[in-house]
Amino acid sequence: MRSRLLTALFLMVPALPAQDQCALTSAPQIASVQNSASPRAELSFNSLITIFGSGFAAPGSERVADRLDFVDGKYPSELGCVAVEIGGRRTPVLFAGANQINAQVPTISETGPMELRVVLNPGRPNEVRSAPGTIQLRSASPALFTLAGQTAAARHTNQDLVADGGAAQEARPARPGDVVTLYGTGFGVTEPVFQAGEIPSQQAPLRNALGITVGGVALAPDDILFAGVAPGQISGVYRFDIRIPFSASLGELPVVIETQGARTQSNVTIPVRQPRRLRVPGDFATIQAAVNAAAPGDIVQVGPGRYNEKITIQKSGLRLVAPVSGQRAVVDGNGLLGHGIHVLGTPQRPVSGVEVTGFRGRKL
Amino acid sequence: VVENFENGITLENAILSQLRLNTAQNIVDKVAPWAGIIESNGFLLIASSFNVVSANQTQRTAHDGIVLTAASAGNTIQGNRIALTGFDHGIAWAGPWRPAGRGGCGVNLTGVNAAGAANNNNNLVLENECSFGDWGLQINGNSTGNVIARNYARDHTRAGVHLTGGANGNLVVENNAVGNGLENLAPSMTFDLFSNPAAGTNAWLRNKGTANFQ
Repeated sequence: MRSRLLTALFLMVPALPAQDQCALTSAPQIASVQNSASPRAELSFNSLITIFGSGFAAPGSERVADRLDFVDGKYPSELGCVAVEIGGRRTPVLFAGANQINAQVPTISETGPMELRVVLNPGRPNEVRSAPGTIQLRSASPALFTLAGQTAAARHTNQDLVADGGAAQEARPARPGDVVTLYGTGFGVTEPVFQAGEIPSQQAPLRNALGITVGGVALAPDDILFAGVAPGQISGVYRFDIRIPFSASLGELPVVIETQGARTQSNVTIPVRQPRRLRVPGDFATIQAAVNAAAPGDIVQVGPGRYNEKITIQKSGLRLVAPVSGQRAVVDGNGLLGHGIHVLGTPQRPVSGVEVTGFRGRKL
Repeated sequence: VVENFENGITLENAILSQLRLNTAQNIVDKVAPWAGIIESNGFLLIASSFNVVSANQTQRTAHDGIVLTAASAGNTIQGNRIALTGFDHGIAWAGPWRPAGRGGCGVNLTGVNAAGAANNNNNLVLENECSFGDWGLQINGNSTGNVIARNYARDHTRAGVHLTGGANGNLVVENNAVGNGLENLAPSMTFDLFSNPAAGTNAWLRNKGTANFQ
């Protein structure tokens, strides 16, 4: 379902070979059409949609569009012998399975009711067309993509997921002051406009005003760093780079975006927490033991003293902090070889967002 | 303080990270032979990009104070104080610390990546103070697009700012390099600002010190 769309958005899905021959024999039936990011039926210009029903493809088969399917650099209007028409126009198809299709509303300014059909074997002698469904187009139908229902699909600036640590290997909650990126669809016209199926060649901010609240508090304009579409994802995916206010409360904070009189879901939240502090030598005898026990986003607080050890940090978002005044923390390599503090990633998975602060001696 | 290691603090394949308010000192090669540029430095960035290294200090490093190598790009190196570099590198240190004129730099953008081709590009090296080493600030390794600005380099045996090894398209502006070239060593001799013939075309603007290209 939506998780399949998220998979397509966040991960690279291996390509399947294109089907040259179309021989689908099922009878496509549309059960419902909704915003891809929420169960709402309202749709708009360029928004991503999910069509539920049956007979869309052979049972058990599914196709996710990738760059091998692109036509003239755009998402295809036919995928696995499945096409979608909205108002008589073919529209990009991102995913096609037996019971679900993900597609994109065409780049049109009309609003109101509009006919939608699923077409199998399109343009061929054995073409099969579903009975029409009706969708309601509005000027905006904003919705935020979510992880597991309520948590907003969001990333830190280093691409880690904004989520509690158990959600994924590289996941950590937001902290007050963090900049994070939210993703949604249905937010309306951008400047410039990118057509349905296109991947934007540049950032294109929303043309209409918007407001964002986090934890019920409206973000200041300076805390909305970008709102619009951007290179890397289809023109129906809107991104919002926001700064969590330093004054934000902690917990699962509701996040709502409003534009053109329409609002995103009221139950979407973002986890905002203060980082956990692991103290050395209070909680752990060695710095490395604390680093090993820490989760991304945690703070390892090193007290004054001399530590005869070498430290390797392979976790993103970790902060290793020593006192910047008064008595010093000294990492002493006496009898050891190599690096004192080694922040170590791999070319495939760099370590990011690590801070090493305060291991400072007397002035030179 | 991080001291008595073969490198002080190292970022390797790291992005968007910060090293602030740290000291690395007494950094020496403990086991001969010297492993080259990736050993005996205070702060070492290997294939690491978009990091900030600021307000740190290094002293008594057998090779360089701060090194960017293996295609480390887009980093900001700002407000660091570096002294006593290039002492005894290449040999197991037996003390005491003494100037040797063996190639140590305050800040050094050098070396190539594993493919032997990439460079250390588009870094900002701002407002650092380097003293008592061999070279002050150096761009090497075909690096391009770097900005070396408002740094203070003094009391080096060779030049205070040195561009060589295919360094091309870099901007060197408003640095104070007066008081370098103390030992009249080749190739920079007594010049404070030295563009090696091996360097390409770079922009030198409003720097202080004697230069071989004026």
